Amino acid sequence: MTPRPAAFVIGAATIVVALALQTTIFSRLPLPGNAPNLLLVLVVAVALAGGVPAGVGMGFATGLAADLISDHPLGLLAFVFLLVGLVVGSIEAPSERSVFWPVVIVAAAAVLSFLLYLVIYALIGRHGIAWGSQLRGLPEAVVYDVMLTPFVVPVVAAVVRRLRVSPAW
Amino acid sequence: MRRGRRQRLTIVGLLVICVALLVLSAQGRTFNGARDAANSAFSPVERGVNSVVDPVGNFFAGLPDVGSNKRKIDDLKRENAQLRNDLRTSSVNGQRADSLRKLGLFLGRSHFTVATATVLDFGPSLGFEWAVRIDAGTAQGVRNNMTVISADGLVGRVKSVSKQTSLVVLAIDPGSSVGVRVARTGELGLVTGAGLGPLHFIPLNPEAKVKVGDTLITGPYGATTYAAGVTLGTVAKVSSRGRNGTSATVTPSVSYSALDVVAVVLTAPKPTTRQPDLASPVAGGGR
Repeated sequence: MTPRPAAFVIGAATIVVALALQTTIFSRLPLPGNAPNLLLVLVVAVALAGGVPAGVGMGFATGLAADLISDHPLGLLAFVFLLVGLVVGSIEAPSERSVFWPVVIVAAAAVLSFLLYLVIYALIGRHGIAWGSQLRGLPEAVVYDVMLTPFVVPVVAAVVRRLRVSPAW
Repeated sequence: MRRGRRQRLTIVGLLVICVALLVLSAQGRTFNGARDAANSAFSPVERGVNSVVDPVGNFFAGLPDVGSNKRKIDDLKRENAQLRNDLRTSSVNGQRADSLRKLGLFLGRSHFTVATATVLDFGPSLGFEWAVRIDAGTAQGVRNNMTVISADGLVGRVKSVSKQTSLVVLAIDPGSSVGVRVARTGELGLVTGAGLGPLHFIPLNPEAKVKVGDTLITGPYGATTYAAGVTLGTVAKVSSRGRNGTSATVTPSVSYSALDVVAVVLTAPKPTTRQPDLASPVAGGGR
């Protein structure tokens, strides 16, 4: 069974809305240290609810869209979010209703994506990265992403359940 | 099992696409065409969201009322909201008019030719790329590497341009370094960004005398050339360690998290005194 076309339409619309919210609101919040990353939490939520295929698809599409409207090398966030979707999607959720696991997984995904982004950026970037000052923003990023989790994960889970996305293409 | 194989093939395919894009990027491909198309498709969406939640701070300040109010008198509330909204927009417009006026005053003194713009959004990456998108592009005469300022001082420099928008890397970006001059003594040096942390200033001459409160202005030093004479910030703390010489932390004069009205310097006046040791003269940089 393949996912219904509705899943693709809703997925694409979600990405556009999430990108707009991220660039106009979340990235501009007057928070110290860093900003919450709605896109990352969204990819994790989809991967948790829909498994590997949904996570990989959503991760790739979200990352590529974010790459296109920002300035870092094209493919960077697509790669990072794809891996996040793949890893999170293959986790067997211990209990679907638990609040604890999504929080842990989002925190781990925030750390993973942050480091992965930095490593790839350092590998292909034109100029070096000041690791000390970059890593300083990591704890805040984790905290803010975790704070988004209870708002994003249940909503995404409900939508995915509604769409009855099968665990395969 | 066929299903599993197809799934695996698709994942590998997507990964290959990512790696291919990254390799091409590393070789210097910028994909400007695709980026332009995505940006021009996306900026109307952003403008829409902006017009709804502008200013962001007020939007969030208003949120707590939404849930707690128990549907009192609808008419009264609606009227109230209308009035409050009027007040908000007028105060935002007032703020904008004020910063435009200040910018105008500043520009009158500086003889820059500029294109004014407002900030559309902050970059959507994971929090370590300090860049904003502004609503001026090639159509307004903006080109790569142009200096962007606000009424308070240096904002950053244009990193990429599309027709109607351009991306501005802020001076606080950890990858950014700005050549500066200490206004009081004329000493040259380099200021590097560290995200929301304080800027870091290293004078060219390790024995240069730097005092707390010294104003730093952009000067002819460093790899990327900014328009000269723009205020960057004031020295907040000086530390002189024996090995590395003098260094200082700098409080930027611009509030980067509250950027709104900015100006792109299209042409800067020629420096009155020529610097014979200048590596890349202002007139030759990035045009």
